[in-house]
Amino acid sequence: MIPENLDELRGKAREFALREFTEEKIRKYEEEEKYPEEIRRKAFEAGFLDMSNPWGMLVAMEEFCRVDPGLGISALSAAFGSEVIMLFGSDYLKKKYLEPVLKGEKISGFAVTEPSAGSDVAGIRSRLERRGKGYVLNGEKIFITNGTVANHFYVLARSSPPPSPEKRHHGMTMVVVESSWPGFEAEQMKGKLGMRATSTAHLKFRDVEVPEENVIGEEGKGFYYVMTFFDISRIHVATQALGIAQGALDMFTEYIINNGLNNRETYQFALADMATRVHAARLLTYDAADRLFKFAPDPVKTSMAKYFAGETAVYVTDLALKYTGMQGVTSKLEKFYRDAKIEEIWEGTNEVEKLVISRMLLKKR
Amino acid sequence: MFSEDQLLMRSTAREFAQRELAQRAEKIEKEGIDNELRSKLASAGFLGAMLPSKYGGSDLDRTSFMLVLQEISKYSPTTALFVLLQHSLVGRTLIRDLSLAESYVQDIVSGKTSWTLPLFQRNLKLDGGRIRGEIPYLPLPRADFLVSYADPKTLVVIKGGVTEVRAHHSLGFRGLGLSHVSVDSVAEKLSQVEVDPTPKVLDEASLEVAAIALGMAQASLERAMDYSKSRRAFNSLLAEFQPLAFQLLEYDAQIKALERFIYSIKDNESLEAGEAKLLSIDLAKRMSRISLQVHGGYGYFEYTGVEKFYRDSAALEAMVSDQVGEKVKLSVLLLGVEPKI
Repeated sequence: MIPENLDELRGKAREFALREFTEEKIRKYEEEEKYPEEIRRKAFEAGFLDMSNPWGMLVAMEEFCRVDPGLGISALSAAFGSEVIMLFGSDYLKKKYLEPVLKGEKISGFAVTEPSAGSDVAGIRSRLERRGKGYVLNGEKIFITNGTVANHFYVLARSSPPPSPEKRHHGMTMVVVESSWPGFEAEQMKGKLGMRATSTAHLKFRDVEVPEENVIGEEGKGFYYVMTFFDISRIHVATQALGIAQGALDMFTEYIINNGLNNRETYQFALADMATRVHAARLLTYDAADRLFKFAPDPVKTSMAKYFAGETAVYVTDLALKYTGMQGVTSKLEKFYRDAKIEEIWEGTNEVEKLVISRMLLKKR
Repeated sequence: MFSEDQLLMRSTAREFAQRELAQRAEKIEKEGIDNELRSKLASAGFLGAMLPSKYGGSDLDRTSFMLVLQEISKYSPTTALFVLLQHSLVGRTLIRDLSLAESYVQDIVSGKTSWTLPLFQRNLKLDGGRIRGEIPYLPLPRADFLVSYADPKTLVVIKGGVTEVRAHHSLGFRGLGLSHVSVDSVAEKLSQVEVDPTPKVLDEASLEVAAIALGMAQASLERAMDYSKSRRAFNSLLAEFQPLAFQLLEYDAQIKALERFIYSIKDNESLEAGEAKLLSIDLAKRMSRISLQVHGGYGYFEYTGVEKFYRDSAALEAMVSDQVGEKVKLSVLLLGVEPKI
């Protein structure tokens, strides 16, 4: 299932990350909680943001996060959410919003989560109301990646009341909103546990006028577009988690060797435990990716990969910390521990992934 | 399980924590424990909790002191560890030879000056009247005084001459600060007492550490419960979903059982005390992870006050014990055989 030339792509990505993600830069962006624009540009110029080469992007994400998760994600998420335009957008939207992103000139963001609705996407309250030939958008979005740096966002809002309590996911529409438009406001959310080199913002939309041509796909079908996007994005998130777990495993292995602990069973067992889980997470993730890249995504496999890889990232960083003591909690490993936790939350919590898995399995019976 | 005096001490500590720490906890993580808070901790009698009253102490029993640490830890684990460190200075180190250190003990207990000591003791080199060397992990690196060993028998007090080589990016207890420092200073010898050749400050305080970890686990559970009863998703309260409710139920039972176990132990050097410490830290880690997860994206931010338990519990594990060394010691107590392989 894995293309033969993956080792070459992997090697190139690893070389880039080791060269560019220096200790100094990792700490600088972490402490300043700043988006690493220079690294984003370099990664683009080196050809890593190439949506026509999905396996290349996948292993780049894995290798980048293996060296530093915050910088790695920011470097490769400049086109965040743009798959919805690729799949459902008009030619006009593709030309206006997708092309500049793919050329590395613009940054996009995906705005769904709200203060009162996270996992429960259908519970959002943002409103999109008809006014003349266009629409007016009001509402708030929270925890939005690229929130302070994106030039435009793919925003989900309610455009008509749900027909019934059971059909809350009906009547939602997705639109493209530019950050320069009147009524738009983005405030950076600081003080995260980890991933501080990624931009996270609270967005506010106050009577933002949205032209009709900025509706993505059909009005009222936004919820389906979001769910389709999750089938793609969750594989990338699983890959982030996989990279974090592999990076922690690398550090633990180095610790064992440097401290002459090779023959101690406590460390051997911990290493075996971590390595087994990392391998399993990689197989699940690559399997889900293979299905997606052959245009046959399987939401069950995708959710399994995302859930298991996220949990593995937390498990491996925790175990590595446990056996590296003070050295661990004052080294790069402590950052990996903090970065890892979000992988169990964003883009669908573990609990949501379990719901997807079980509901779809039961539906097939 | 507790006497009336002990319950009174617990409610005093709880009120102190709610009044002085609840609103200040985030600031403590960023700016440390300032003179004002140190004075308040001293006035409340926490810095010399178990010390005899003739030295300015509160003359508390161990259970009362553990209850104080547990309550403080629910709001600020950093402050709880600070209190334990100051107490270790007077209770386990300086008090051993009060004829030399009495004035210093009173300074610490009254909060007049700030003191520190290395987490993992390394002998500094005494050469004539000067003391030199490096300390890789020193909390409170800007304290007025540093207490250390010049050799396994000689305790010294150092004022000035401590230079920060590197401030560590520490996972937890950020308000304490943690630095690698070099020392080159005039030393004052304090005592000539026999000590463990490789003493660790918190080694002899298993039950106190267990109480701190228990406080973290309880706070994490309480916050998860509160949030689950106020946050709605999919038209229901989070608490109405069985997997979460059952998980919180299970952890509530574990915490209650552990609390009874911890407070039933009398000997800090016993196998049970060591087991209680390991169990409580493990429980604090697992419970804080669940609490963060329940809070979703909000839990990932400092202002929610949940993520610090996730960091601090993992850091505590590293700060108070060498996992393997500790378990070897306890295994010998349990099995009578040393696990070497």
